[in-house]
Amino acid sequence: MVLKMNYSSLINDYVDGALEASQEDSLFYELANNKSLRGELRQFIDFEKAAKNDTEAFVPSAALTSSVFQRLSIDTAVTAGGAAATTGFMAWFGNYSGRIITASASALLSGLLVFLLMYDPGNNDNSRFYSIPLDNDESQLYAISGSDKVPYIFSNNESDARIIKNEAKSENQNFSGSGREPSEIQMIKSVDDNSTQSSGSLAENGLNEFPETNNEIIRIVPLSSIIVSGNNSLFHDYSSPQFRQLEAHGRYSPIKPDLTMFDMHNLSFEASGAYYDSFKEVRVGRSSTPPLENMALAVYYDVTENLSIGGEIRNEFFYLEYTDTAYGELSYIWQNTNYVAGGLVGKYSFFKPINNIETYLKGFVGGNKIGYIIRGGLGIEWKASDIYSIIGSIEYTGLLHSSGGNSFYDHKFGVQYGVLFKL
Amino acid sequence: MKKAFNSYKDSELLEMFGKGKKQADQAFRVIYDRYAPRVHAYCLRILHNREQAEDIFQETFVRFYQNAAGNRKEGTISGFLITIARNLCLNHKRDRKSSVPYNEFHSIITDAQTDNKEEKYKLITMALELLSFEYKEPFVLRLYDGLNYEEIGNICGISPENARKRVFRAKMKIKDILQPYLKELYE
Repeated sequence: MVLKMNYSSLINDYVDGALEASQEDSLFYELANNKSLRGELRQFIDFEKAAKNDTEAFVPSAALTSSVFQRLSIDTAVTAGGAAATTGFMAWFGNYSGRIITASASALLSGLLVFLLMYDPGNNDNSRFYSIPLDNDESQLYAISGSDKVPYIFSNNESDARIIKNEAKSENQNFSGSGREPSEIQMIKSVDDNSTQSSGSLAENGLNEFPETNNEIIRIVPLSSIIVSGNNSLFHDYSSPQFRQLEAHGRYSPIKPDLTMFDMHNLSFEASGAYYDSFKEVRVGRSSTPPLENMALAVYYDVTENLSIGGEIRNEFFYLEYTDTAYGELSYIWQNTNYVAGGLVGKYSFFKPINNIETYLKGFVGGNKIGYIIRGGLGIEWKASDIYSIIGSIEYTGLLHSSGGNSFYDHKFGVQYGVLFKL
Repeated sequence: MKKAFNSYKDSELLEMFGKGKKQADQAFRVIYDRYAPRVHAYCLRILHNREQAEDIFQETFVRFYQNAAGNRKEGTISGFLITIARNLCLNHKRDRKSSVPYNEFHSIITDAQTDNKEEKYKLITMALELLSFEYKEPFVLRLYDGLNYEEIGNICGISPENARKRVFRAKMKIKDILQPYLKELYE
């Protein structure tokens, strides 16, 4: 028994790094021949490992850190705890400044993008328009970009349409388009029997009256559509001086994208910010809050009146808990991460808008550099004008990631808020 | 600026406490980042009650801040902090039960999966709870806070050799407690 106690003490000294060289041979010889003693050595090593792996003991919660600094009236904005600032407006600003800046930056970026695509400085050349080779056997739709341009529609007596003026959209009763506002069309004209009316925009273009229609009614269609019908057309002379054919891409844009394959008016751009809470208790404080955290940019294409699909990128925060090898030992790891995520997004509106407010379901599948992300949300969109809407939603997000050969799932819940710009 | 403060020695940080609130606050942030894990581990593993440990933890740093300016003669900040935490823990423990009765311990871990490393470490942590303060404290200070035996002796009011013996005896006691559960692993 005494001998065993001595060897136990030697093992303790060995694990402590304090074993004398003269005692090493004796201990190692005994270890080589004593299975029980080897077990004891492993146990002493496990005591050290248990303490090192006891991460719960070593990490004060973010709330605890915050309370310490608040009691001492110390600003925590630059601490590892990442807790709130002290009192009053500064406390509020410290809490929300990141999100305010994110939302503002999102709106500015999105507005800039829309501007680059849509801006037309306007000029005195009022006859700028898309031209499609005239085919006398077909009716064709001509459209003109810009705020002061006039769409000319070729049709025949089999087609049915109205040209809608922006200022009086409520008068549009026979619009048969995709459910969106016909913002691409610049003029209202009621086509009655044997009569025509011209709008101001026609006059501005030097056309004092709309050509006679002979009871023809013009169907409103998307720009990319072509009406296939008979031979008669509204305008008898395609090469009339009333028309001036210009470049194929008549729309002015500083970046001149070739978007003729899309119907641009079904595109919209969304810029948003978000605030999340992790479902798991956050055990480690933030060392910093990156700029534009949880900011997202998305592009949607309206597939139908109710369904939009697109792509989204987001600078996204997650709180992770997983195990992995750290310093040669399996350890619990708690980590705050901020990676760019991207993926496919879809929105579905399931009720008719009421007072310009509609609800939608939203889904996202994608990933970031460490795993796969799924997101689902329920939101509302307030169509503040033809150009933009205010959106807000509640979201659930999950991240599936792996580490050390094991899979882990971390999730969060939060709110998204932003602006949707429509072309 | 924060990076520069991070490289300051403890003595330099303590000096800042006498130079106004702004500098004191900056020094405190670095000290907190540097020693909060150790103090938290000490409080939690001595008291084994998170709520109580967090109260003690908070009070420790508050008292440190309030007294740091007048205690620049202290050897190390970690020793100063642990001493404050120790005194608060001792005051707290006077009228409170500080360990789990042996029978309760056995009922808690009857289903322990001892072939799992994490579970094994958990068992060791739980067994620590059964030790008396006399042995638990040196064990925590050595294995959790990484103090040497001289520092442990200064805090506990014993000699370094006595501190080494108490750590050893704490390990042996934990070994005996866990012997029925970990027998197959270690033999």
